[in-house]
Amino acid sequence: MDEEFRFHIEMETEKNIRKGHDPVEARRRALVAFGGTERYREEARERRRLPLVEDVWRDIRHAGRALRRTPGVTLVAVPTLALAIGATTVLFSFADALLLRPLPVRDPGRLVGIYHVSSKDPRDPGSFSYPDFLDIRDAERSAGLRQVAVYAGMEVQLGDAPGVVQVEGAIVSGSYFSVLGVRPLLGRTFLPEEDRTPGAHPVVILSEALWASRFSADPSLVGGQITLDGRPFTVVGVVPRSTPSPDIHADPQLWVPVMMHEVVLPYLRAEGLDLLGSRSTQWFGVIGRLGPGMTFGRVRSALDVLSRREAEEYPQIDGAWSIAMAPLGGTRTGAPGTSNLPRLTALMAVVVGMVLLLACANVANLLLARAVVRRHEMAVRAALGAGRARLARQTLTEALLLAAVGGAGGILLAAWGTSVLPSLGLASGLPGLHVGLDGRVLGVALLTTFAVGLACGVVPSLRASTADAARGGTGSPPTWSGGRARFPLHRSLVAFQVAVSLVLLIGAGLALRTLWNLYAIPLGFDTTNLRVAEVHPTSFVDPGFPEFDSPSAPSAGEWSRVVESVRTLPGVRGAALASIAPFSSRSMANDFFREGEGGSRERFNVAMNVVSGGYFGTMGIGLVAGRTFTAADVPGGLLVAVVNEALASRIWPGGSAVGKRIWMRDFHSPDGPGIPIEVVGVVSNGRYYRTWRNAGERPFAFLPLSQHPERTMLLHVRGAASGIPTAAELRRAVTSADPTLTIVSMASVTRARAQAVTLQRTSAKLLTLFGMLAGLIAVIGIYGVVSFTVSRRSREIGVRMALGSRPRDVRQRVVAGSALPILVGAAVGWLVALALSMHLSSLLYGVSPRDPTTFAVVGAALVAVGLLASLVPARRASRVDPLTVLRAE
Amino acid sequence: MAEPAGSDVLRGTLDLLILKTLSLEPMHGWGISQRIQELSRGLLDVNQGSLYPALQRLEHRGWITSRWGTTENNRKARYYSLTARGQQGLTHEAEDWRRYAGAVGWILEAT
Repeated sequence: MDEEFRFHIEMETEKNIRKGHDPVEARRRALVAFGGTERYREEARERRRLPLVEDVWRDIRHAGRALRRTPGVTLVAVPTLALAIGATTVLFSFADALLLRPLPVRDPGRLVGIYHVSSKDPRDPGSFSYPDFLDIRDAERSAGLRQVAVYAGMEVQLGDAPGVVQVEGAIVSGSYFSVLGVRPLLGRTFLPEEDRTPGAHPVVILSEALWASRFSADPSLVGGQITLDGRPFTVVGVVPRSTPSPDIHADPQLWVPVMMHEVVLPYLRAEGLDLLGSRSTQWFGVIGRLGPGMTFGRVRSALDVLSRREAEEYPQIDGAWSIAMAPLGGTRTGAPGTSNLPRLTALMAVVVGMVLLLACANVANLLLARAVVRRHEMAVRAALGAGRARLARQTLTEALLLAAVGGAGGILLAAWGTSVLPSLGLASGLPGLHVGLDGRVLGVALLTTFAVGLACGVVPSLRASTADAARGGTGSPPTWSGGRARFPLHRSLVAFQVAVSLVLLIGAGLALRTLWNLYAIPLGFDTTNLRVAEVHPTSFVDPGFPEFDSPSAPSAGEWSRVVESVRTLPGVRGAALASIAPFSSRSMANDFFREGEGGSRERFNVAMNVVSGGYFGTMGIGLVAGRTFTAADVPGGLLVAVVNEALASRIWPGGSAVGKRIWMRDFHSPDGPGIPIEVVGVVSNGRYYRTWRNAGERPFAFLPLSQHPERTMLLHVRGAASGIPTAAELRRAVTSADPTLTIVSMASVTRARAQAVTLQRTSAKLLTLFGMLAGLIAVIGIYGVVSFTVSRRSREIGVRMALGSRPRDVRQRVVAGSALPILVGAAVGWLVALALSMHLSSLLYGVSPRDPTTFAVVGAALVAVGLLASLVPARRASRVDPLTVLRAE
Repeated sequence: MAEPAGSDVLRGTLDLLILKTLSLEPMHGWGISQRIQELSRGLLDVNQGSLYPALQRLEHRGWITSRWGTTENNRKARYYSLTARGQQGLTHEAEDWRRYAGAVGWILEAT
């Protein structure tokens, strides 16, 4: 274009020269005739159909200026939106990883998990023994599976002293990675021959994460050696960080062939426990890949057939069992035992959705309040010819800009949030779940941001577009009386916020009371510093194969030497043995009979535990009458029992139980008179079961270990506050007392108790966290709106005070103005909570879903805080100096 | 020294004049303004401020096209030429103009 103009001017100049002007004058005339070139350029540009883009850019710049002009609004709105968008993003990344995103493997849709399901506990999927797996593998082709693989978790010591670390790993079959559909990043996966000979191939595959963190991602490590449990292993490959664990509760970092189990699971070797040969050692998870052209349903029915045959051939002492299959590829929640997760995610979605709505309402409200103030500006612009659409678009752009800034903050928050998710306990117990930000999650965050911008902006922008040049231009300031009638919208938004946060906070209150109630149940024993270790004989005998040589259980003397040896360890304040640990899912019960008058027999079902002498002292269970077990309770003598108060009062109401006799049903002659047992002591009631909250005061009988020899016992160790011996120290103490015994695992009782109430704990945390967040947003909203209105009404307040209003009246008026929407919101929130809380009832314990106390206390607290939030700006209003304000006019 | 006093081209007729000029031969912007002046015997003066925007408008409408060419003096200039659609447009606009001018004439001649 410039060139065209230059040409024009030159031609005009030449013409002028021909007319007789000197060149300078000629050019000047030409330029004058042409006029400013800039103007044509502008006009031409307008015509080039880019005005939309330029308009939008102008709107954005304008919005940026407008937001800078009212920093108060921006400072409140941006963090609010950031929190809400961040929370939504975290939730989505969690739900995405858990429910939506297919596993990052080849052809995930054909990957299945195969589970051992006992009829006793169908919701808790079990694992298979290695022989079970071999049977499934033999039948894989006929069942329509392309290939199957096993895996079992383990912990292994990596490195040489002193730099040894414990690493989570897995032993897997050679087919594992090809079934899973993972290709190595470096090197190779396992070979078929590494799957055949026990102990022959010390090879290991590392995860990319371990390789990078421990070996600085050194590519030459492949082919080199590392030390596992003191033995050299050759690194044959590295698999990508994204390699999923079929078990969502595990996150292995290295894999070794199943055939190397004796090296990486040394205590099995010490015990002679036959991991690969025994059918009762059910350690292995099984995964499989559907064969070509096979559907899930056909494979499942084929497995059902196999399952029936297997169950017939190898019946289990604890009831019938079967093989179940669940798709693994899309999500891992198809697996039995993870059924709580979708439910929790749904609860989270509701909660987060509410917080998001709340944030939108909050920002919309602030923008509305500002729109009121900007009526004058809008009216002027309307009068100057700005179209309604134009004004609406301007306001909408401001909302979108706010959302964009908030969204950026939200994504940062989410990046932090997904990394702390495990420590919040929301993803606890799910190390195999890789939650993080990726393209999908960011996409959802951006969509959320845009939607939030629209949601916040639509109402205020419609408002702005109705700005009336004639009315707004008169510049009448808003007043209290006018405010109530003319701006009910922002009041209803405040009410809405209060309602939503009240619903969440009431949910949080109920969940917290549940947790409180659960923990307030007197257990009857002390859980602090209590650990339970499983003690096995090293020559473990398979109960499924009694035809094999069965060594006798350790004698009472041998067991007591073990206990004594552990007691002498530093940090041990008490030790005892029992066959059932607190909060375990195992239980033991039998029928007992009481001899009534005239030979009648009354039957009671009684829960039992076989314990050593020091059990009651170690557990802190109080003796009410009689004695506990002593050395006098010998195998040949009269059988004795210690019962709890519930049993004593049931069988001998009003009388003393000590010295009385009961009969325990004899397994060998169930219809016989039973085995006579004398009650030697009565202890206080206790709740030992996983479902302790529902168990009530069950009749309970303790039998002495000395009279009921057991092969496997649970060592209960009470530690000092200063520290408790490690599993290795305990194992040494046990083995030194009796070389035929060893410790296989150790767990904390407090943790077992917490795990028993995971659902309640997580929902309480979730509701509390978001309830507080929602409450905070609502309070910020109330504060923001009130202080904004107050500051815009300072002139009116000044006039009122000049006319004799006292500061107290001003304060009252301001607080009263915000009290109505707060109260209305609280009432609505109450009603909604009343309607919704019934859905929580399955989570609650010891508190009604419509618990009046919770409703009253939470409601009152929220209203009080809301009023307090409006009191702060009210106080500021009452300090307005009438003179200053009026002079400013 | 004084230029011959010419009236500005009447608003709305500039497009017609440009189309007519270009129907004679393809021409650059300066040539168009000169040709209009010549053809109107110096009575009509094209304001450059309207000329170039009008050319852009017509080009956008697809009535004229432009390409870079060389003048007789071997200088680069942008030549505009009429398209088929422009030819049709010219016919319509010319007809409209004649009807309008005629109508105005009758009114002015009314006694």
